Amino acid sequence: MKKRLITSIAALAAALSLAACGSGNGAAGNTAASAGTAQAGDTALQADTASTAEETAGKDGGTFTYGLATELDNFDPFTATTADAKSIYFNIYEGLVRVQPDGTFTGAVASDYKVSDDAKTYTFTLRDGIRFHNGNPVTTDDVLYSIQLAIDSKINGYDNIDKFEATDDKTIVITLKKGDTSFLADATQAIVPKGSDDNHELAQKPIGTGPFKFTEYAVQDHVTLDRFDDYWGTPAHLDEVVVKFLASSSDYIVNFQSGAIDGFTADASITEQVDKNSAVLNVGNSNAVQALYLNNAKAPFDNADVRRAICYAVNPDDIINLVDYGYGTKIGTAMIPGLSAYYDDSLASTYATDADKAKELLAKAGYPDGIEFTVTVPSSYQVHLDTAQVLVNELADAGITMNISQVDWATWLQNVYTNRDYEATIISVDGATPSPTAFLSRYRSDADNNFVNYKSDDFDAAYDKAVGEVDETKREQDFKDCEKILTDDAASAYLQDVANILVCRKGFSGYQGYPLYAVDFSAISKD
Amino acid sequence: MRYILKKTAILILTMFLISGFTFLAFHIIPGDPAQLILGTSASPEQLEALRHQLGTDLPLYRQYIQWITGFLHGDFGTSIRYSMPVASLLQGHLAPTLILGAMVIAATLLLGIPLGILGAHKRDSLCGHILSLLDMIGISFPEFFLSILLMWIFGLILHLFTPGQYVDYGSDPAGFFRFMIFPAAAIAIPQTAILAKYVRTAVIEELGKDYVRTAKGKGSTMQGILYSHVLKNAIVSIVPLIGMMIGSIFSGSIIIEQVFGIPGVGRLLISSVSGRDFPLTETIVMYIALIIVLTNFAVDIVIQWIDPRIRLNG
Repeated sequence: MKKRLITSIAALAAALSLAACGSGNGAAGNTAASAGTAQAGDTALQADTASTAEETAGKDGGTFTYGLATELDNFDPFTATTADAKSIYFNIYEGLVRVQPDGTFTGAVASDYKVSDDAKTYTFTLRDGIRFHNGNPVTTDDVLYSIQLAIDSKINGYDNIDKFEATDDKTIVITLKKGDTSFLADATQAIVPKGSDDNHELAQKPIGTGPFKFTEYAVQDHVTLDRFDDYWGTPAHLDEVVVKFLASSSDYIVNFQSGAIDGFTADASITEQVDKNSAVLNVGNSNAVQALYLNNAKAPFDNADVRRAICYAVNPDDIINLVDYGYGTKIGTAMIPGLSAYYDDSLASTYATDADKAKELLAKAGYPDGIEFTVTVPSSYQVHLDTAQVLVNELADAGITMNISQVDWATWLQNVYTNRDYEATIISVDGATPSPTAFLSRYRSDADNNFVNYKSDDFDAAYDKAVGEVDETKREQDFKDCEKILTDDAASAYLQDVANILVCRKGFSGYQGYPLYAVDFSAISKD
Repeated sequence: MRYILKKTAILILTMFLISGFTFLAFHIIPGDPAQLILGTSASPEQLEALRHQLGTDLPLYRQYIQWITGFLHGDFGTSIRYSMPVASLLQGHLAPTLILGAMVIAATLLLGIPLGILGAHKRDSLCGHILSLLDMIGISFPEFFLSILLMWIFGLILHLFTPGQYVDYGSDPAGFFRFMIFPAAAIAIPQTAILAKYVRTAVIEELGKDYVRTAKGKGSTMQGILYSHVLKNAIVSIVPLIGMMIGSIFSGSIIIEQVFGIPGVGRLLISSVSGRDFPLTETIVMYIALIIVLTNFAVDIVIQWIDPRIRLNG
């Protein structure tokens, strides 16, 4: 009897251990973001002679099978807020406005919008003739329903809404409690039919206004999106997109080679294995801040000199070259280059790698014999594990011993992110909306998501000043000031914006990069 | 009859213990399903609202009591991760796993037993040595590595199937079996090797016994002795092994479904664990445990039917 109990338990144990090392690729490795202009690393790198010239003249028709190593299970835009879910339903749902490739906003469900000078009143005009995937026209009632849903679901930025109303059957006016010039980023939140999500029905049956409509969902296998022929804008080229779920990111290469998928997005360590004769590689940014995050509340990282010593000891250039094959963008603060108007690139050179300087600072802080700590890394992200390996050697030169502890994604979320019970971790932090506040708000002393436990009165004051500023030029400078405080205090050791590379089989073209984590299927066409 | 009653009682107790162990494992591992659904940008209010909606704001022991009460009434609860009834989720995922398991068992028995007998019969010839060697190779290959090798050779080089392109059995049964041959082989090869080795040892041991010499002395042919006496006795020690193998086949299937991308129960189990989906994990574990326990139960019955001596000890 013991034996069969053991066999049954062994089966469970196998499942548990596999879960610990498998799948994942959840949210934080990826992203959302911007209001600035064009994106730094967004050049299309053609592996061969193929050019992007024909992308606007792409032919219509065909099926594109896109591999995704994260299994999507919820398509409700009000509860599914992970980056991977957003990257796909970017094609299904649209907000009053949508983000453009250059990071500015343009009307979507609204054909036009006006912002008052104090940035308190936003007036949207409903687009004429726009329809939902179910064929019904979009009315102001649908918009009001969606806004209420966003408020009820505690979507970022919606707590600032004082009142919202339809002044006639074409106009929606939103009044904010405090002026906020980045509310447009929040207005990208999906508009859905009235009553369609009363019991979270959208989780399994999404209805939006985007260029693709959701037609089929097979649990653990795939979702199918069909072109929406009544789309208000330029219709998609492809007839159909199949998003196929893979068990882990290590399956991308085999599936691509065998022809089971036509494209996928991954980091360079995976895309470098692709046969360049059969594929086109489109390099973009992941629009997330990768750093060696230090728990500012835990000794020895409660001492700013120790944190600065870490910054001097690490060499982001080496990491970009060794881990990211040179594709990543070096950063020195908690802002992505994609939000170029708010990003201070001079901060990337604040700490020039210098092991002696690091030792000096450690001695000054009272650690003449160096320090030892553990970095907790989510095992589902190869890029962060690789980064940790490189860091171990770099830190050793400065007399710092770093031990690596791997945990599964759920454990990381609970222990590191929520309970803040860790010394250091490596992760890419994304922004909930395309705005600077999404990246910087977490450093406020009282922020719920301040998982590095950073506390600075200077920063809090600078941040409040920036948020309250309605003049766009001053506001940009104010946010840069916030970034400088973070860098000078060495809130963490900032490394890079990891490259995100879309691999497409030859024969498909039309990659469109965005300053947020999204795959725009409507731009892709089959030759 | 008392024997069967006793075994049944132990069976039910085992099932309870397994569900309890799963509960304990869930109790120990960190992770919050609501946080997994919402991701890092969720606010505490959003998390709380979703936890309440999912019912995960209750302490885990109450979720367990809720689940097991439902389970005893035939209601497996609602999956947290997929927000649909566990029963309908399982319905779609059971068939590929069961067919895979059946293919593996069939292949293992049909190949393992004859190869073992052949190996014992020809143990001193070249053929026997080659079989022993193949056995060792088969046993030493981990399923995971074997499946990658099979995908590479038969998928990417010979193009006999498309790795990653699972074919649904409903829409194309021929294509389904064509695809399933390879994952089945990945599990069956090590299992066949183990069974063949075991059969070989058991048969050789029987062949050395006095009754074989006596039979030989009476003029029976080797073939005759083998099939009428030796096999019958050897099988008593082989049947329990088959019961054990069912367990290995299922745990192998968990890995193989992951590698080959088969949407079966094994893959569902892994995503239920990584999604901290308590009702789904409990139900799948109970399903797998039930299958394993029932096969072993059947094995016990078969053994005591073959060999009445067991009944006295049972």
